Amino acid sequence: MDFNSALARLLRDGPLRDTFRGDPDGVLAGLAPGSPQDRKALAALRYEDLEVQADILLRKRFDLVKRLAPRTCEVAGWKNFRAYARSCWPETPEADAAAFCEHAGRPVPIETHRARFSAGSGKMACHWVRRTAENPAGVHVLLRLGQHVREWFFEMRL
Amino acid sequence: MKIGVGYRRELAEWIATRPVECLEITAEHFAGRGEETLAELAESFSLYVHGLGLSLGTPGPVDPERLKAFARVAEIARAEWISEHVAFTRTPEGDLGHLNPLFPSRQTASLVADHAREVADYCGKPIILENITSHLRIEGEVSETDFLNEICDRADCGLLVDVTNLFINSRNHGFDPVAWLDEIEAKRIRQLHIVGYSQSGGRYLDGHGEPIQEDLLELAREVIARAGVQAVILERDEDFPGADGMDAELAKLRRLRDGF
Repeated sequence: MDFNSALARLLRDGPLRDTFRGDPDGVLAGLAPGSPQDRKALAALRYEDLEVQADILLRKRFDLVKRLAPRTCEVAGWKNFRAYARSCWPETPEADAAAFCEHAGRPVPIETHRARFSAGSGKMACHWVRRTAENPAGVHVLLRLGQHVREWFFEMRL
Repeated sequence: MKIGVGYRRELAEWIATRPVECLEITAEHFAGRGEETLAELAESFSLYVHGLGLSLGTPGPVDPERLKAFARVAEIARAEWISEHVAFTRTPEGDLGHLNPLFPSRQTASLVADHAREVADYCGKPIILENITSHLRIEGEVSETDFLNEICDRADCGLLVDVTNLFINSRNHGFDPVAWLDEIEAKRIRQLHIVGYSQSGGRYLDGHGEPIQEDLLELAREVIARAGVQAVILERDEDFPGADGMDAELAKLRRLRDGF
Protein backbone atom coordinates (compact mmCIF):
# COMPACT_ATOMS: atom_id res chain seq x y z
CA MET A 1 0.00 0.00 0.00
CA ASP A 2 1.47 3.40 -0.90
CA PHE A 3 1.95 6.19 1.62
CA ASN A 4 -1.11 8.17 0.57
CA SER A 5 -3.39 5.11 0.81
CA ALA A 6 -2.03 4.12 4.23
CA LEU A 7 -2.44 7.67 5.53
CA ALA A 8 -5.92 7.91 4.02
CA ARG A 9 -6.90 4.64 5.72
CA LEU A 10 -5.84 6.07 9.07
CA LEU A 11 -7.70 9.33 8.42
CA ARG A 12 -10.93 7.60 7.34
CA ASP A 13 -11.11 5.03 10.14
CA GLY A 14 -11.52 6.27 13.71
CA PRO A 15 -11.34 2.82 15.39
CA LEU A 16 -8.18 2.06 13.39
CA ARG A 17 -6.62 5.28 14.71
CA ASP A 18 -7.58 4.26 18.23
CA THR A 19 -5.81 0.93 17.71
CA PHE A 20 -2.82 2.72 16.14
CA ARG A 21 -2.49 4.79 19.30
CA GLY A 22 -1.77 1.71 21.38
CA ASP A 23 -0.17 -0.52 18.75
CA PRO A 24 1.29 1.43 15.81
CA ASP A 25 3.47 -1.48 14.70
CA GLY A 26 0.50 -3.83 14.59
CA VAL A 27 -1.60 -1.40 12.54
CA LEU A 28 1.26 -0.65 10.15
CA ALA A 29 1.90 -4.38 9.69
CA GLY A 30 -1.70 -4.62 8.50
CA LEU A 31 -1.45 -1.56 6.23
CA ALA A 32 1.87 -2.81 4.85
CA PRO A 33 3.29 0.51 3.61
CA GLY A 34 5.42 0.13 0.51
CA SER A 35 8.82 1.25 1.79
CA PRO A 36 10.74 1.48 5.07
CA GLN A 37 10.72 5.29 4.74
CA ASP A 38 6.92 5.33 4.36
CA ARG A 39 6.58 3.05 7.39
CA LYS A 40 8.92 5.22 9.48
CA ALA A 41 7.01 8.39 8.56
CA LEU A 42 3.66 6.80 9.36
CA ALA A 43 4.93 5.36 12.66
CA ALA A 44 6.02 8.86 13.69
CA LEU A 45 2.53 10.33 13.29
CA ARG A 46 0.95 11.46 16.53
CA TYR A 47 -2.54 10.23 17.40
CA GLU A 48 -3.63 13.73 18.44
CA ASP A 49 -2.55 15.19 15.09
CA LEU A 50 -4.31 12.39 13.18
CA GLU A 51 -7.51 13.10 15.12
CA VAL A 52 -7.39 16.82 14.30
CA GLN A 53 -6.71 16.18 10.60
CA ALA A 54 -9.46 13.53 10.52
CA ASP A 55 -11.89 15.95 12.14
CA ILE A 56 -11.26 18.42 9.33
CA LEU A 57 -12.29 15.72 6.85
CA LEU A 58 -15.38 14.94 8.92
CA ARG A 59 -16.33 18.64 9.00
CA LYS A 60 -16.23 18.66 5.19
CA ARG A 61 -18.53 15.63 5.16
CA PHE A 62 -20.86 17.32 7.64
CA ASP A 63 -21.06 20.40 5.41
CA LEU A 64 -22.09 18.22 2.45
CA VAL A 65 -24.61 16.21 4.46
CA LYS A 66 -26.08 19.47 5.83
CA ARG A 67 -27.01 20.51 2.29
CA LEU A 68 -29.04 17.31 1.87
CA ALA A 69 -30.44 16.99 5.40
CA PRO A 70 -30.23 20.43 7.03
CA ARG A 71 -32.85 19.92 9.68
CA THR A 72 -31.50 16.50 10.68
CA CYS A 73 -28.03 18.00 11.09
CA GLU A 74 -29.36 20.98 13.02
CA VAL A 75 -31.29 18.74 15.42
CA ALA A 76 -28.67 15.98 15.77
CA GLY A 77 -25.66 18.33 15.78
CA TRP A 78 -21.99 18.00 14.96
CA LYS A 79 -21.11 15.79 17.95
CA ASN A 80 -23.64 13.16 16.89
CA PHE A 81 -22.43 13.33 13.31
CA ARG A 82 -18.83 12.92 14.43
CA ALA A 83 -19.73 9.90 16.56
CA TYR A 84 -21.49 8.32 13.56
CA ALA A 85 -18.94 9.37 10.91
CA ARG A 86 -15.76 8.30 12.73
CA SER A 87 -16.29 4.66 11.88
CA CYS A 88 -17.79 4.75 8.40
CA TRP A 89 -17.06 6.40 5.08
CA PRO A 90 -19.95 6.06 2.61
CA GLU A 91 -19.07 6.44 -1.03
CA THR A 92 -21.15 9.52 -1.75
CA PRO A 93 -22.55 12.48 0.21
CA GLU A 94 -26.04 11.15 -0.59
CA ALA A 95 -25.24 7.75 0.96
CA ASP A 96 -23.63 9.59 3.89
CA ALA A 97 -26.78 11.66 4.42
CA ALA A 98 -29.01 8.58 4.18
CA ALA A 99 -26.89 6.69 6.73
CA PHE A 100 -26.79 9.66 9.11
CA CYS A 101 -30.52 10.18 8.88
CA GLU A 102 -30.93 6.52 9.97
CA HIS A 103 -28.44 7.02 12.79
CA ALA A 104 -29.83 10.32 14.06
CA GLY A 105 -31.97 10.08 17.15
CA ARG A 106 -34.81 12.26 15.87
CA PRO A 107 -35.29 11.46 12.19
CA VAL A 108 -36.86 13.99 9.88
CA PRO A 109 -38.88 11.70 7.58
CA ILE A 110 -38.80 13.96 4.52
CA GLU A 111 -35.03 14.30 4.75
CA THR A 112 -34.55 10.56 5.34
CA HIS A 113 -36.63 9.76 2.23
CA ARG A 114 -34.81 12.39 0.18
CA ALA A 115 -31.36 11.17 1.23
CA ARG A 116 -32.20 7.49 0.61
CA PHE A 117 -33.70 8.28 -2.80
CA SER A 118 -30.73 10.48 -3.78
CA ALA A 119 -28.30 7.71 -2.78
CA GLY A 120 -30.14 5.14 -4.89
CA SER A 121 -30.90 4.85 -8.57
CA GLY A 122 -34.69 4.67 -8.66
CA LYS A 123 -36.62 6.93 -11.01
CA MET A 124 -39.50 7.73 -8.71
CA ALA A 125 -40.59 7.28 -5.11
CA CYS A 126 -43.72 8.13 -3.23
CA HIS A 127 -43.98 8.06 0.58
CA TRP A 128 -46.70 8.66 3.08
CA VAL A 129 -45.11 10.85 5.75
CA ARG A 130 -46.59 10.77 9.19
CA ARG A 131 -46.81 13.94 11.24
CA THR A 132 -43.81 14.61 13.50
CA ALA A 133 -42.39 17.61 15.33
CA GLU A 134 -40.36 18.34 12.18
CA ASN A 135 -43.02 18.03 9.46
CA PRO A 136 -46.79 17.80 8.90
CA ALA A 137 -48.47 14.63 7.57
CA GLY A 138 -48.62 14.26 3.81
CA VAL A 139 -47.39 12.59 0.66
CA HIS A 140 -43.77 13.07 -0.41
CA VAL A 141 -43.04 12.46 -4.10
CA LEU A 142 -39.51 12.29 -5.51
CA LEU A 143 -38.54 12.13 -9.17
CA ARG A 144 -35.10 11.66 -10.68
CA LEU A 145 -34.59 13.82 -13.81
CA GLY A 146 -31.13 13.13 -15.15
CA GLN A 147 -28.71 14.00 -12.38
CA HIS A 148 -31.24 16.10 -10.47
CA VAL A 149 -33.85 15.06 -7.93
CA ARG A 150 -37.13 16.98 -7.86
CA GLU A 151 -39.51 16.62 -4.96
CA TRP A 152 -43.01 17.67 -3.99
CA PHE A 153 -44.81 17.49 -0.67
CA PHE A 154 -48.59 17.41 -0.54
CA GLU A 155 -49.69 18.22 2.99
CA MET A 156 -52.75 16.38 4.25
CA ARG A 157 -54.83 18.39 6.64
CA LEU A 158 -56.97 16.03 8.64
CA MET B 1 0.80 43.78 -7.58
CA LYS B 2 -2.97 43.27 -7.79
CA ILE B 3 -5.22 42.91 -4.76
CA GLY B 4 -8.33 40.77 -5.04
CA VAL B 5 -10.61 38.20 -3.46
CA GLY B 6 -11.69 34.66 -4.00
CA TYR B 7 -14.99 34.88 -5.86
CA ARG B 8 -17.90 33.59 -3.76
CA ARG B 9 -21.60 33.98 -4.63
CA GLU B 10 -22.14 35.66 -1.28
CA LEU B 11 -19.69 38.41 -2.32
CA ALA B 12 -21.06 38.96 -5.84
CA GLU B 13 -22.99 42.14 -5.03
CA TRP B 14 -20.10 43.61 -3.05
CA ILE B 15 -17.60 42.77 -5.82
CA ALA B 16 -19.79 44.44 -8.45
CA THR B 17 -19.55 47.80 -6.66
CA ARG B 18 -15.91 47.81 -5.54
CA PRO B 19 -12.61 48.49 -7.31
CA VAL B 20 -11.46 44.90 -6.87
CA GLU B 21 -8.47 44.40 -9.15
CA CYS B 22 -8.63 40.67 -9.65
CA LEU B 23 -10.62 37.59 -8.69
CA GLU B 24 -9.68 34.01 -8.02
CA ILE B 25 -12.21 31.51 -9.32
CA THR B 26 -12.50 28.10 -7.65
CA ALA B 27 -12.70 25.72 -10.59
CA GLU B 28 -15.04 23.25 -8.86
CA HIS B 29 -17.60 26.03 -8.21
CA PHE B 30 -18.01 26.56 -11.96
CA ALA B 31 -17.51 23.04 -13.30
CA GLY B 32 -20.48 22.43 -15.60
CA ARG B 33 -22.41 25.50 -14.43
CA GLY B 34 -22.35 29.28 -14.22
CA GLU B 35 -20.49 29.70 -17.51
CA GLU B 36 -22.39 32.88 -18.36
CA THR B 37 -21.50 34.44 -15.02
CA LEU B 38 -17.89 33.38 -15.48
CA ALA B 39 -17.70 34.89 -18.98
CA GLU B 40 -19.12 38.17 -17.60
CA LEU B 41 -16.54 38.22 -14.82
CA ALA B 42 -13.78 37.64 -17.38
CA GLU B 43 -14.88 40.81 -19.17
CA SER B 44 -14.41 42.96 -16.08
CA PHE B 45 -11.64 41.39 -13.98
CA SER B 46 -8.28 39.67 -14.20
CA LEU B 47 -9.12 36.10 -13.25
CA TYR B 48 -7.03 33.26 -11.88
CA VAL B 49 -8.47 29.73 -11.69
CA HIS B 50 -7.74 27.69 -8.56
CA GLY B 51 -8.38 23.97 -8.26
CA LEU B 52 -9.21 21.92 -5.20
CA GLY B 53 -9.73 18.43 -6.55
CA LEU B 54 -7.13 17.50 -9.19
CA SER B 55 -5.12 15.68 -6.50
CA LEU B 56 -1.72 16.24 -8.10
CA GLY B 57 -0.08 14.05 -5.46
CA THR B 58 -2.05 10.91 -6.32
CA PRO B 59 -0.03 8.31 -8.27
CA GLY B 60 -1.43 7.46 -11.68
CA PRO B 61 -3.02 9.69 -14.28
CA VAL B 62 -4.77 12.94 -13.38
CA ASP B 63 -8.52 12.28 -13.46
CA PRO B 64 -9.41 13.06 -17.09
CA GLU B 65 -12.98 14.23 -16.42
CA ARG B 66 -11.88 16.60 -13.66
CA LEU B 67 -9.03 17.90 -15.83
CA LYS B 68 -11.40 18.51 -18.73
CA ALA B 69 -13.82 20.41 -16.47
CA PHE B 70 -10.95 22.42 -14.96
CA ALA B 71 -9.62 23.35 -18.40
CA ARG B 72 -13.08 24.45 -19.53
CA VAL B 73 -13.34 26.82 -16.55
CA ALA B 74 -9.83 28.17 -17.21
CA GLU B 75 -10.71 28.75 -20.86
CA ILE B 76 -13.95 30.64 -20.21
CA ALA B 77 -12.29 32.64 -17.44
CA ARG B 78 -9.43 33.55 -19.76
CA ALA B 79 -7.33 32.81 -16.68
CA GLU B 80 -3.97 34.55 -16.50
CA TRP B 81 -2.70 31.51 -14.61
CA ILE B 82 -4.06 28.43 -12.91
CA SER B 83 -3.20 26.96 -9.52
CA GLU B 84 -3.54 23.78 -7.48
CA HIS B 85 -2.08 22.30 -4.32
CA VAL B 86 0.92 20.22 -3.36
CA ALA B 87 -1.33 17.60 -1.78
CA PHE B 88 -3.58 14.63 -2.39
CA THR B 89 -7.34 14.37 -1.99
CA ARG B 90 -7.97 10.92 -3.49
CA THR B 91 -6.66 7.39 -3.31
CA PRO B 92 -7.86 4.26 -5.13
CA GLU B 93 -10.19 3.67 -2.14
CA GLY B 94 -11.98 6.95 -2.57
CA ASP B 95 -12.14 10.69 -2.15
CA LEU B 96 -11.21 12.23 1.20
CA GLY B 97 -12.84 15.52 0.23
CA HIS B 98 -9.95 17.62 1.54
CA LEU B 99 -6.27 18.31 0.96
CA ASN B 100 -3.80 16.04 2.76
CA PRO B 101 -0.02 16.16 3.01
CA LEU B 102 2.36 14.14 0.87
CA PHE B 103 5.47 12.21 1.79
CA PRO B 104 8.23 14.71 0.89
CA SER B 105 10.63 12.79 -1.33
CA ARG B 106 12.31 13.18 -4.71
CA GLN B 107 9.97 10.56 -6.15
CA THR B 108 6.87 12.41 -4.94
CA ALA B 109 8.31 15.71 -6.18
CA SER B 110 8.74 14.15 -9.60
CA LEU B 111 5.14 12.88 -9.56
CA VAL B 112 3.67 16.25 -8.58
CA ALA B 113 5.84 18.07 -11.12
CA ASP B 114 4.77 15.70 -13.91
CA HIS B 115 1.10 16.24 -13.03
CA ALA B 116 1.57 20.02 -12.80
CA ARG B 117 3.15 20.12 -16.25
CA GLU B 118 0.39 17.89 -17.62
CA VAL B 119 -2.32 20.21 -16.26
CA ALA B 120 -0.53 23.34 -17.49
CA ASP B 121 -0.03 21.87 -20.96
CA TYR B 122 -3.62 20.65 -21.19
CA CYS B 123 -5.01 24.04 -20.15
CA GLY B 124 -2.45 26.05 -22.13
CA LYS B 125 -1.85 28.23 -19.03
CA PRO B 126 1.03 28.71 -16.62
CA ILE B 127 0.49 26.86 -13.33
CA ILE B 128 1.47 27.76 -9.79
CA LEU B 129 1.36 25.43 -6.80
CA GLU B 130 0.23 26.14 -3.26
CA ASN B 131 1.51 25.01 0.15
CA ILE B 132 -1.21 23.50 2.38
CA THR B 133 -2.07 23.48 6.07
CA SER B 134 -1.42 20.13 7.69
CA HIS B 135 -1.84 19.09 11.29
CA LEU B 136 0.43 16.14 10.49
CA ARG B 137 4.18 16.69 10.51
CA ILE B 138 5.58 14.20 8.03
CA GLU B 139 9.29 13.51 8.22
CA GLY B 140 10.30 12.68 4.69
CA GLU B 141 13.51 12.41 2.72
CA VAL B 142 13.67 16.18 2.21
CA SER B 143 12.45 19.27 4.03
CA GLU B 144 9.21 20.92 2.95
CA THR B 145 11.05 23.85 1.38
CA ASP B 146 13.43 21.58 -0.58
CA PHE B 147 10.37 19.57 -1.64
CA LEU B 148 8.53 22.64 -2.95
CA ASN B 149 11.68 23.99 -4.63
CA GLU B 150 12.30 20.67 -6.37
CA ILE B 151 8.72 20.45 -7.62
CA CYS B 152 8.84 23.97 -9.01
CA ASP B 153 12.23 23.38 -10.64
CA ARG B 154 11.14 20.11 -12.25
CA ALA B 155 7.84 21.58 -13.45
CA ASP B 156 9.32 25.02 -14.16
CA CYS B 157 6.29 26.47 -12.44
CA GLY B 158 5.49 29.18 -9.93
CA LEU B 159 4.59 29.06 -6.27
CA LEU B 160 1.47 30.31 -4.56
CA VAL B 161 2.46 31.02 -0.96
CA ASP B 162 -0.52 30.71 1.31
CA VAL B 163 0.65 33.00 4.10
CA THR B 164 -2.08 31.76 6.46
CA ASN B 165 -1.20 28.10 5.88
CA LEU B 166 2.50 28.85 6.44
CA PHE B 167 1.75 30.79 9.64
CA ILE B 168 -0.58 28.07 11.01
CA ASN B 169 1.90 25.28 10.28
CA SER B 170 4.74 27.30 11.86
CA ARG B 171 2.76 27.79 15.08
CA ASN B 172 1.42 24.23 15.26
CA HIS B 173 4.73 22.57 14.40
CA GLY B 174 7.11 25.05 16.04
CA PHE B 175 9.26 26.43 13.25
CA ASP B 176 10.23 29.92 12.09
CA PRO B 177 8.17 30.92 9.02
CA VAL B 178 10.69 33.59 8.04
CA ALA B 179 13.48 30.97 7.98
CA TRP B 180 11.11 28.86 5.84
CA LEU B 181 10.79 31.79 3.43
CA ASP B 182 14.57 32.17 3.31
CA GLU B 183 14.82 28.57 2.07
CA ILE B 184 12.22 28.95 -0.65
CA GLU B 185 13.30 30.02 -4.15
CA ALA B 186 11.80 33.52 -4.05
CA LYS B 187 11.91 33.92 -7.82
CA ARG B 188 9.15 31.27 -8.07
CA ILE B 189 6.65 33.10 -5.84
CA ARG B 190 3.93 34.64 -7.97
CA GLN B 191 0.84 34.91 -5.79
CA LEU B 192 -0.24 34.95 -2.14
CA HIS B 193 -3.33 33.75 -0.33
CA ILE B 194 -4.27 35.31 2.97
CA VAL B 195 -7.20 35.14 5.40
CA GLY B 196 -7.51 35.29 9.19
CA TYR B 197 -6.82 32.19 11.26
CA SER B 198 -8.73 30.89 14.27
CA GLN B 199 -7.57 29.11 17.42
CA SER B 200 -9.07 26.24 19.38
CA GLY B 201 -7.70 23.86 21.97
CA GLY B 202 -4.21 25.29 21.66
CA ARG B 203 -4.13 24.81 17.89
CA TYR B 204 -4.21 27.25 15.04
CA LEU B 205 -6.86 26.48 12.42
CA ASP B 206 -7.65 27.70 8.91
CA GLY B 207 -11.39 28.19 8.98
CA HIS B 208 -11.27 30.96 6.32
CA GLY B 209 -13.73 32.95 8.35
CA GLU B 210 -11.73 35.49 10.36
CA PRO B 211 -10.36 38.98 9.69
CA ILE B 212 -6.66 39.12 8.79
CA GLN B 213 -4.56 39.45 11.91
CA GLU B 214 -1.52 41.74 12.18
CA ASP B 215 0.95 38.88 12.51
CA LEU B 216 -0.27 37.51 9.15
CA LEU B 217 0.26 40.90 7.54
CA GLU B 218 3.79 40.98 8.96
CA LEU B 219 4.51 37.59 7.40
CA ALA B 220 3.01 38.73 4.09
CA ARG B 221 5.35 41.75 4.23
CA GLU B 222 8.28 39.34 4.55
CA VAL B 223 7.18 37.48 1.43
CA ILE B 224 6.61 40.62 -0.64
CA ALA B 225 10.00 41.99 0.42
CA ARG B 226 11.65 38.86 -1.01
CA ALA B 227 9.65 38.13 -4.12
CA GLY B 228 8.00 39.70 -7.16
CA VAL B 229 4.46 38.92 -6.02
CA GLN B 230 1.95 39.70 -8.75
CA ALA B 231 -1.32 39.14 -6.89
CA VAL B 232 -2.63 38.82 -3.34
CA ILE B 233 -5.99 37.10 -2.91
CA LEU B 234 -8.12 37.36 0.23
CA GLU B 235 -9.52 33.85 0.66
CA ARG B 236 -12.60 34.46 2.80
CA ASP B 237 -15.04 31.53 2.62
CA GLU B 238 -17.48 32.06 5.47
CA ASP B 239 -18.80 34.40 8.16
CA PHE B 240 -18.68 37.19 5.62
CA PRO B 241 -18.46 40.51 7.48
CA GLY B 242 -20.65 42.66 5.26
CA ALA B 243 -19.58 45.35 2.84
CA ASP B 244 -17.77 47.54 5.40
CA GLY B 245 -15.92 44.55 6.80
CA MET B 246 -14.80 43.39 3.36
CA ASP B 247 -13.74 46.94 2.50
CA ALA B 248 -11.63 47.00 5.67
CA GLU B 249 -10.00 43.68 4.75
CA LEU B 250 -9.07 44.91 1.29
CA ALA B 251 -7.80 48.17 2.77
CA LYS B 252 -5.36 46.17 4.92
CA LEU B 253 -3.96 44.53 1.79
CA ARG B 254 -3.74 47.81 -0.11
CA ARG B 255 -1.82 49.38 2.80
CA LEU B 256 0.47 46.35 2.74
CA ARG B 257 1.16 46.96 -0.95
CA ASP B 258 1.52 50.71 -0.53
CA GLY B 259 4.20 50.11 2.12
CA PHE B 260 6.46 48.99 -0.72
